[in-house]
Amino acid sequence: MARAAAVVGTGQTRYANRRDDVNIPELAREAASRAIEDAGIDPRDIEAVVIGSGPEVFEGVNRPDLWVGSALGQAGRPVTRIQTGGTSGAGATIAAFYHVASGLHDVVLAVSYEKLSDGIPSYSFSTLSDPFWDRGFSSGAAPLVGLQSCQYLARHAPKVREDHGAMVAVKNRKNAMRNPYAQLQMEITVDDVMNSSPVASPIKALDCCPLSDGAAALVIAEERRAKKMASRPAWFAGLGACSESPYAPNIDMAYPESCVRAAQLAYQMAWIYDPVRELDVAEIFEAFSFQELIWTEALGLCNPGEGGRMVESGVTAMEGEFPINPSGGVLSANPIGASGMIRQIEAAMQVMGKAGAHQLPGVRKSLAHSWGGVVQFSTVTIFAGEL
Amino acid sequence: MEEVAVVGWAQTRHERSKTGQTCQKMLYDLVNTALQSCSMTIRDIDTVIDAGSDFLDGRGLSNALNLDAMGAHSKVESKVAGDGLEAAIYAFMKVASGMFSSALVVAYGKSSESSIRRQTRAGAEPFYARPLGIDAVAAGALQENAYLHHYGIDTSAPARVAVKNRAAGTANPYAQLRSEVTLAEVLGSPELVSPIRRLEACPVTDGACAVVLADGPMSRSLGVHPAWIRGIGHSQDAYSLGSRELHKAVSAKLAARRAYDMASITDPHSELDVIEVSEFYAYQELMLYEALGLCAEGDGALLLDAGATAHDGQTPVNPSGGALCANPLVATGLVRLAESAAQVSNRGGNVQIDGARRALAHSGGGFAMQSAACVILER
Repeated sequence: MARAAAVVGTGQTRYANRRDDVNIPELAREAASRAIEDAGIDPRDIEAVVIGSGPEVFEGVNRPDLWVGSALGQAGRPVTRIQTGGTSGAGATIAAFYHVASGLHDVVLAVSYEKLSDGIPSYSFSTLSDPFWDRGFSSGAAPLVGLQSCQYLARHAPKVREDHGAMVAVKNRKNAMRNPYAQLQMEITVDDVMNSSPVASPIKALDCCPLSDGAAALVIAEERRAKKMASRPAWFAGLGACSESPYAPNIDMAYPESCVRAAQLAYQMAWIYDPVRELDVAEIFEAFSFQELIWTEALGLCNPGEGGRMVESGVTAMEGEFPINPSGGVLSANPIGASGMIRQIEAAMQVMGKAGAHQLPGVRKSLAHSWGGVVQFSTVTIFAGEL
Repeated sequence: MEEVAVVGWAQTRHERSKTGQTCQKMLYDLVNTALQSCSMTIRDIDTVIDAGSDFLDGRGLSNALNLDAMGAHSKVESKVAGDGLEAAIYAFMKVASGMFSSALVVAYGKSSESSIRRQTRAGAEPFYARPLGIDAVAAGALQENAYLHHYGIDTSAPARVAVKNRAAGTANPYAQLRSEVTLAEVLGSPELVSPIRRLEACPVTDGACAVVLADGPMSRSLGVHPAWIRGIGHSQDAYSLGSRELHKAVSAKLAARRAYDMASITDPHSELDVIEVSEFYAYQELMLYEALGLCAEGDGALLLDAGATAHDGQTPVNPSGGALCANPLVATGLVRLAESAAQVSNRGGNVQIDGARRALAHSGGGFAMQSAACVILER
């Protein structure tokens, strides 16, 4: 059977639209050093490194892991890079988990980063599309998720409305005010969001995540070492991942199978039968506001069509019965290749009791979600305070 | 840790340009052949790990459009952005953890759709190194010079590696280059970047490889000879060429040492029956003899000239012809694993080494062998 493993230290950079003071390895090192310090270990205790970052076209560097590895002070160590778009960061954590669970390594560092200011993200995004069939009319992430949001609203109208998306944007930007790393910390109203300029209907400017530079890192250790390193480690209780065909007509974007299946796998592993009652908090990858509603449903936290009610009734607010994205979520910072790992870090910190000003009381189990590609990859990670 | 074995594999026929096939078509046929080789169907596969290069494919997410073709739809899938052998190591971990019974590993590269020299140049540090125009061949040339000069090795030694491997490649039905070359032809071929000559460099190749891994119970139930994974090692050296001991393959040495420790191998020269390495340039095979512990540092050429690494030598290296006969970038290291598995399960066909029981597969990456991975297989 797999060995138990836990997150024992985490590190994040402050997320910003542009970090001109550092290059990619320096950015990654900033987060890695903080994670190593948080775990209270020596960098030499690290046995292997897993790096997660988004498409190479984002920064225009081929095999960036070869550049980053030795800058982390880990020359000579095994270094592996995971690249699955938005799920890269979460995928790197999951790969690091298997380094430990397999029995091959005891202490592993996972690092993720993105430096979107080094490139042109919308242009880069169009290279995700099939070069022969789709690329000619591909225009970035917002139109793709605009389509997803249309599909979702059309299916569940009038139960779900356009202003439900705006409520998510208001909630998460407000939560971000307590998160020292967040890029966007804003007190806004539903009217502000509804009146913001159109991007790709129904998505408006304030429904969108920002473009970010930033990095995140975490240290994972096996049971015996984890108990020594952290007073309350965040144990990996459940993991799920699922990939789907890339062709939009094949995907039910309003209720994506990859997310439903990833959640099922994670719940099975964690022996969770009623997620909304057994979990205490979720960190969800909502690059655009409507996605928080869609993922909430696909993760089984409410029934299909109930996403709007969840936010409107305050259930998912910081002080609600089931807070979602107390960190401010992806709407408050999106260094794409790191964002999935940031969700895991925030979920782990809630369990470890280290979330600072946005710490929720008494968190025993938390969930972190990420999506990537053309709404085709999903990962779900569940942390528990008790082994 | 659960036992893990390589039970099935397939490689494409490697060619300069597979213009007649899309990447998806190439992968669909490949994965089917790999599954058939171990009497499995895609339903028997618990997880898929693939390896691809965004730069090579000219795509933002090289795996995204190939998911259906690889049989990864609705599966637990992830992508390693490195050589396929590193993807195999990740797949090994997943099966060794006991959480998955089987894994499919797929690696592919259609270099004909890209410019290899530009693709590798994009790996150079963008602010200071890239403007110099350094790429994989130029970095290799610096390393070859450092190596030959440090040990006083004559410049025809790498050419003799090319002669050996090209002769071996004639027996390999998947190889791209299947003709012998003479020492005079290699020495007379034009220099790409001095001192690397054209016939001492790997070709540009379209191709792919797929490997199936399974845990102990499943491996024993398939009616094939499993190739058990006994050791793995993986290492990445410093990025800057100036920070490295360029005349040594340090990462390969560290990777091999980890794999040997795990497999309890103390004398690789006598304990390994066959080795497959990723020698993108001929000189690298000599350096790898030393890094893998087949001979002392600086003695690689002596080992070659003694015939120890020839097909009938004590430890044959690259009986398939190696990367000098086909270099489907990204898949090259995984091809080494497939060839090694074929050897230890006595399915090596024309390139079979009689009685091979234990083999090592190596992959390299980055400028001048910055990273390396090693996997040891046993019958």
